[in-house]
Amino acid sequence: MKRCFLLLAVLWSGQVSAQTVFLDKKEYAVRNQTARVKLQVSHSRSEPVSLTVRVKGPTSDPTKAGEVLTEGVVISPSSFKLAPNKMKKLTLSLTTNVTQKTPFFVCALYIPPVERREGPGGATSGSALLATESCSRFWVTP
Amino acid sequence: MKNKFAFAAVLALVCAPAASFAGTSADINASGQASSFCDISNTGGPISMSISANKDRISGTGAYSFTANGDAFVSLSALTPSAPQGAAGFTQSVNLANLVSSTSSTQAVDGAAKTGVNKLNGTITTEIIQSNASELLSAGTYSLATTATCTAL
Repeated sequence: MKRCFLLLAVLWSGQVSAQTVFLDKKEYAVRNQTARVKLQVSHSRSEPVSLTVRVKGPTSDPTKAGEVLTEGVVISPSSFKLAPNKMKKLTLSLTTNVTQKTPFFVCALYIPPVERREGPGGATSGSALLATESCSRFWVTP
Repeated sequence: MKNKFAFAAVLALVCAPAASFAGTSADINASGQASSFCDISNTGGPISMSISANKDRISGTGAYSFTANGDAFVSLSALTPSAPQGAAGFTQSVNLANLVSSTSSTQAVDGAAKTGVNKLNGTITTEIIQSNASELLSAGTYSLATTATCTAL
């Protein structure tokens, strides 16, 4: 049933071309100082694209994500190429010693190919690169 | 003879297969959970900027799409501009209409929270504007980079 909901969510989100993170639940308990999170990532662009998954830590504001965590995080796999409208299952191990319920954020990042456009003959021109990232908050409990 | 027919009819009725009289029933229990999610996408592709008639800026437009099935917000990371060497002073801006806008090259900017279910399509506007006494943008090639992040709560 959960898969049906996820599929519906993918189909619904399929009308746009963004990447999406789906968590199997919102709250994870720490066991042996590690929280194990199951998630799935999808996108609905017209062709396979490379996505990067990363985790951001808490801040004093529980709605705001902090810095990208580079230690104590194992995401398998953390970077991959994914065909459109396919679900990629991932596992995330987060080593932490939280003493209270704490928010973390898992994010899927898409960086489009760079297309620099030089203006002819030194003309004044430019390009803007907009990467997009989708994050979902989850809570870790001691 | 008439009685025999009546008896046969009653007998057929009584002895008919039980299934033809029995009602059918089935218990159906379904449950599930929809993950909360949001997504933000640059649907317009690469944004190219060209100089304005007033010669004081280059600007470009694109398009975004945002969806969320619960409370969420969108933020822009600190803007990263690049300009020709020796360029006169300028400022930069990125605006996702009705979501978030930033002119900062030093810090991220959060948009207002969007509550409930949302599905928005809008315009992305990017600009590099002169900020010098001559009110002219130096010649050359500029670029502007940022990351739009949506966060589902």
